[in-house]
Amino acid sequence: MEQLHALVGVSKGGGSGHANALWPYRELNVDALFHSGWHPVAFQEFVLKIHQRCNLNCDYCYVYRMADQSWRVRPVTMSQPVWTAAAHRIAEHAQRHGLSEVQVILHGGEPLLAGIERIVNIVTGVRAAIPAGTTVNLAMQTNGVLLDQSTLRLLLEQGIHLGISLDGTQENHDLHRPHADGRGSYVEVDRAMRLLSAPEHRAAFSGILSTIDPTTDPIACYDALLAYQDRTLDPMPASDSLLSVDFLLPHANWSAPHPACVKATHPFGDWLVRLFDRWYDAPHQEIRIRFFEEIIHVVLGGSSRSENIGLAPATVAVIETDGAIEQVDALKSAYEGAAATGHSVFTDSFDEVLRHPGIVARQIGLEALSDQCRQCTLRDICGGGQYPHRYRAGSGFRNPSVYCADLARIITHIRNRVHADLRCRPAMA
Amino acid sequence: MLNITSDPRIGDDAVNDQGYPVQEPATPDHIAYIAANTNVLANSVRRLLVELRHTHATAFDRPQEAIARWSSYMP
Repeated sequence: MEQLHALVGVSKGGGSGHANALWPYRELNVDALFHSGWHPVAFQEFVLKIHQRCNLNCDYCYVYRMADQSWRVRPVTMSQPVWTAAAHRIAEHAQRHGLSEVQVILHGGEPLLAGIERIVNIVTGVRAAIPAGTTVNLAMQTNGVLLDQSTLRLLLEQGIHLGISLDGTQENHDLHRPHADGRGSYVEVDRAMRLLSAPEHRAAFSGILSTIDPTTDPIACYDALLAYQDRTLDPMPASDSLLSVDFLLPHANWSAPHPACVKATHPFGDWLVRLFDRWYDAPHQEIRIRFFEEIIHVVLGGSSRSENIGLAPATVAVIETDGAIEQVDALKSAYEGAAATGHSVFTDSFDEVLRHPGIVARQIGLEALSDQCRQCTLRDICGGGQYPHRYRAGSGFRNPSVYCADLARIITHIRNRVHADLRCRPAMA
Repeated sequence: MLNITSDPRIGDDAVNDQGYPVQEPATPDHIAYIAANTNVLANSVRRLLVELRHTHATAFDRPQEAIARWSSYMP
């Protein structure tokens, strides 16, 4: 990879839509990388934006409340020609790369606004197109507001796993995730959570995504989510049957930092440290927290499987309602058109998208990091932080994360605690 | 894996002298103790052992490419 780094710095690729980002669009020489023998990793996760609108008005939403406003001009729903073309492109990609499995995630906006009939048609179309040797894992991330018993039953019949967005306590959730008229959505989401937490639905429940508010009490947040851990079957369930939660940093960047980070050095790191100690010190693991588990795993010497931790290649592609193939859409927090690749399922294969500078930059690990990150002792764990969080208008995405101090705070804390426990001889009976 | 004896102190190290006990390194007894538990660390060690078993599989097994399997789209 050192050889590849030497090739970086020659202008090639990108397009005028990315004038705000020298890296990677002007400074990463994709052709030279390919000529050097480097090859990309096939996409394995495909996010279908099946509905462009949402029934909530979350204050941190990267689709509606941040820099990119492309939702205004895209079709409201994904039409049959789009999902058919998308399914065939996914199938083509799976076949060409011999993929044993692919993940297809139904996303929005709010995907349940697409209606259950359309969802069933999409899922049926995707499954029919994928070659026999490839397993399709279907999932949907929803705000839960429209999830009732009959909808859930139909989704489960289609083998769709469900994730719910829920921000801890009712007070915090209603503050950040209201309806357009200001009403909180907690009561409706709580109802959906109780449905999904029932033993008969548990296997189809992927877990919770929770966005952090550093002004809240992390212990209260933890306890609110822990209440959904099903203990009716086993008071100490195996770790793989525990409720899974991932905590997300609200999207921000150097040109639009989170207000809390202007007032304090590492408010999110401090919040996460308190949360980690509550979780880690439980005598038995109570829930799964992916962000923490991945850090521990890398500290122990393992390989991260999360795009938010470590340096492993990202393999996700997004298909918009108009058929545009895009990068991870959290990039919409950076600037107008930041997620765009210029490719479409109607005209381009996913292999062509694998040559896009924005995609390549997510797959070259250390080579995509800033000099400051490359010299940091935490780089193999942090991986430079989430890609959208590295953005600074002008230089682009080759900067430390705007949450660098927060990441350093929580990672070193976890590392110290794990190392201390591994060195501590237990009192043997 | 980080070299904790030589890494410079940054982040949590720099702002907070945790003072966690540094005692003798792990022993087989200690590994057995961890394996018998169901706390976070024990589960993490078990996961690592599973991964090591996969990555040190026989030459006839298809090598597993390290990729970011989980994005932020799903928990």
